[in-house]
Amino acid sequence: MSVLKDTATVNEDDANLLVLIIDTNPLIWTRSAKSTGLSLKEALRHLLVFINAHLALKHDNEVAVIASHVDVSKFLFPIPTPPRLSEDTDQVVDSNLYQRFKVVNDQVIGNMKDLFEDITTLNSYPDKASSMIAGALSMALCYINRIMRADEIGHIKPRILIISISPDSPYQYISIMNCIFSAQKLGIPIDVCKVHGEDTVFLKQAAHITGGRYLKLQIPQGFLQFLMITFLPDRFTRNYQCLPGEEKVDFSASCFCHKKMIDIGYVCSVCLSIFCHPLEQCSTCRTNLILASVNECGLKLVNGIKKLDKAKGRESGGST
Amino acid sequence: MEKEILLTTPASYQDRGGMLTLFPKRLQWSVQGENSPTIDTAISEIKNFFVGKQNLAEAKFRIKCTDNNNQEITHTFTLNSQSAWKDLETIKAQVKNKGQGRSAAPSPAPQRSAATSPVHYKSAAPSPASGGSSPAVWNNNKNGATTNGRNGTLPLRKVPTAKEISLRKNLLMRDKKLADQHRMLVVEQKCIAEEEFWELRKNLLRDQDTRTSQQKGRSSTMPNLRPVTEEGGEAKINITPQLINEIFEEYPRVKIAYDKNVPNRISEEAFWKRYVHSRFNDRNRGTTSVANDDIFDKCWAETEDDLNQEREHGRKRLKISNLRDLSATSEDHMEIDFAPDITMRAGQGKILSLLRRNNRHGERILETSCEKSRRYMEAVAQQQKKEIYTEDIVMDDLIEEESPSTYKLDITDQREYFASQASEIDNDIVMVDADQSSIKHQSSIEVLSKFRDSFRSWNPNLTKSLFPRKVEIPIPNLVTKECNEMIEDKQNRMRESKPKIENLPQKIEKEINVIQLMGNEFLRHFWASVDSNVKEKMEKNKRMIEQLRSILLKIDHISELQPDDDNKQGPTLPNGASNISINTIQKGQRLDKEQRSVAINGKRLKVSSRASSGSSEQVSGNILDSSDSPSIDSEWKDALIQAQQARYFI
Repeated sequence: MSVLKDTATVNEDDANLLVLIIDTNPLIWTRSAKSTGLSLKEALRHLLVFINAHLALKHDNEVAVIASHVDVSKFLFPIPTPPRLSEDTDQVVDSNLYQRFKVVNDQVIGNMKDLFEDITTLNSYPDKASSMIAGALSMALCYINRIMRADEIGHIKPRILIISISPDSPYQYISIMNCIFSAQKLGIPIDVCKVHGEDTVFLKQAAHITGGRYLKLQIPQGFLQFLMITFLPDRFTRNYQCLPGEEKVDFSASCFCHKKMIDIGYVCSVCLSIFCHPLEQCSTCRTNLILASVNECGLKLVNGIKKLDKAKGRESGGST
Repeated sequence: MEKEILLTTPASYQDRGGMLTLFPKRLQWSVQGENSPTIDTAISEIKNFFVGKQNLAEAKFRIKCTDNNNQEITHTFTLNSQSAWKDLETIKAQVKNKGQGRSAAPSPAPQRSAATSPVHYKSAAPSPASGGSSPAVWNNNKNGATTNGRNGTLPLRKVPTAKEISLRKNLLMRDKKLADQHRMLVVEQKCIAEEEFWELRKNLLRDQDTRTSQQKGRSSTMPNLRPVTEEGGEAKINITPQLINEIFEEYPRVKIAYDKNVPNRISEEAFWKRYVHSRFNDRNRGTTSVANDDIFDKCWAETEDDLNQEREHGRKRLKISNLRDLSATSEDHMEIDFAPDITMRAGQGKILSLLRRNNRHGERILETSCEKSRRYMEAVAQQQKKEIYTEDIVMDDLIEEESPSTYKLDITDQREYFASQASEIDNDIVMVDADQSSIKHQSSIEVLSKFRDSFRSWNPNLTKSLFPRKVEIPIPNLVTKECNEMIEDKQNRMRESKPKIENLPQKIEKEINVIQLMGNEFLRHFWASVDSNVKEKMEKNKRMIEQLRSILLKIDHISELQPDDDNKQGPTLPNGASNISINTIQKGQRLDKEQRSVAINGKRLKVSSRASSGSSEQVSGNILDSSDSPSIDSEWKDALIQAQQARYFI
């Protein structure tokens, strides 16, 4: 059995599986609502319409929605046992709504409400400004893998769309990169829509490497329209369309010790960590480094980042 | 070496006085009082030799030769000595003689190849040992060595050594691309010094050194005299001394026969003629010759015997090593009866002897290549009457493997590790919140619970319009405009991203190539010297920054495109080298941005031409709606884009 089916070639009548990862960090959405007027509720209305549009494009199109929350990522749709669906459907009967849309909408909203109920664990989580993008990406990839295995004729073409709002979380860097490379290997494009805040370098690279598109939302009120124009076309159509989205990617490396963008870096030969100054011992893997070539250049090795910072502080203190 | 001087005479060159020195193979001229020759050419390189008219007062001659870069140069010398005309004749004779080979030179040049052997047939092919295959290279080698050797008593030039020079020369001759770079950067533009150029290419020199110092092993072909059919249909056989040596070595019986017969009974020529016609020469080809020849029939039989008897007699140089002797372990296999193989008996059948011959030949070749190792060891061991077995009986598989000393990737604490940035983000949030001042005093738990509460009773109403109504310009229009712009940019970029270098006018293309080459070279030097505390390197770094700056100016000049003024305002020179580098980088980035802005403008390339004194014209597509500078056509536009690109790379 071939586990990896041909995910690269796409036909016109292929079904599309859209895995939507929504960044639901409440703090940053609150900030976004203050500054741009686009709150999560508002954004969700846009997103639901978008999801429905995707499902309406083709009868066998599929969708999955994953919430990337502050310290957890969760499937919003589909989930094995829909909990509150029965009571909801009893209450609201909308005869004008196509049943499938309604199931998706209700589940997404319902599960998201559940997600927001738990505020204590979230509050105790130290890194509140981040969201579990790496976890959500892994879940998306696993889900796609499962669907692809079940689909014997290779009819379903997956793609991932990340609605990102929180800044990069550096300590997820390695796991995100792993996800990106898995996606690249499986031929799954990762699209990224950055709703608010600065560009995320990680996701920009993700889009670039996997052949997806990166879009920074300029007009928040036109969220839906951007989604429709940029991210709705399926993988077959994309081959023939010139769609909006940035193509410039910042590949410059930043050092692990201070996160500064650097032009000359010193790379640990064991774990490939990058530093802005040669260290006697790699702070990541604790390898003792012997740097003959560095000595030749007349540079001094510094033992540990803290000492390095101290030394630098002294230098600047002395010169001023 | 050619230290022998045939002639030294005062001679002037380009109205400067100096000494002309004639060596058996070289002609050198040096300025009066200087040791190193200004002009130094191999006589074999001289193509034309013109002598002035005899009746004139001055004895003049002119030579045309090729220099190291394979370009033709003409030198004119005037001999000033009393016996000028006589000297001139000497030079002339020497130059003329080179055509007939070295032997004609007044003083015999070293002759290694043909003369050493007693046989001199039509040996057209130079023997490999003489190294005549690449005369140019060798001449250069000798040149380097000679100048050095001559200066033995005088102070030598500091660096580089003669060996280095010859290495460089060889490398340049081998690598055309490198030679081009070298010519462009060092010789023509003179932007970097010779030493600096090589400093960055140490590794290439090292490779070249190892390459040339490797010795060629023995050829593995069996010595065989084969006829070569020439134009007229005649078959010729070339017998070189090298080949004769090989034959003697391969077939000792031929050597014996040669020694017995040659000067006394038959001539050398006859001997080899008979050899060629004999069966012996054809033995490896399976064909049978017609003629019977007593000498070589005997040789044949004896050689066969030698081969066949070898086993019985025991090879004279060694007994078969116990490790290879199949009968050595016969005691262990008493119960099995080993009968000697009758099929592989010596002396039976042609194929067998052919196989044996080939094996023997192969063994000999292997032995020559690893003469010192195995054979030496065996010889030593035999002398001591014992063999060394340990090396052979230790089986690698049975040795316990030491686990390789690896480092475990043990990331101590990812959180601490990225701590510096995480704290920045936290600060960022606090700051922004403070700016907003609305949730300034709210703790995160308040925000969260508010968020939860607002969601509890929320149900999305998808029937309500998503776009706010009361806006000046409807949102969809804005979005469409925005998207259109993005798409247009993209399309423009795609269209313009690859201008072809072939479309450039030749002059500009050349200029761009030079600039690109120089820029790259400077950047290499820049990065090689940046961040160094060594004083020389710091100075060099400063120099490189200046050079890079001049390159940028040159680019501006080429494209005739002058962006904003701040481009020309170089950063004020700070003290530390690192600061400078940062500044340059920033400058580079700024330039990038400018470049981008131009590229983004896409079809509208803003060109301010010099003729129109700063006024700018709009170039749309390929059509130029300006009469001021009619020379700007589509080619020019490409050139501009190309220049932009070049800058981008630099």
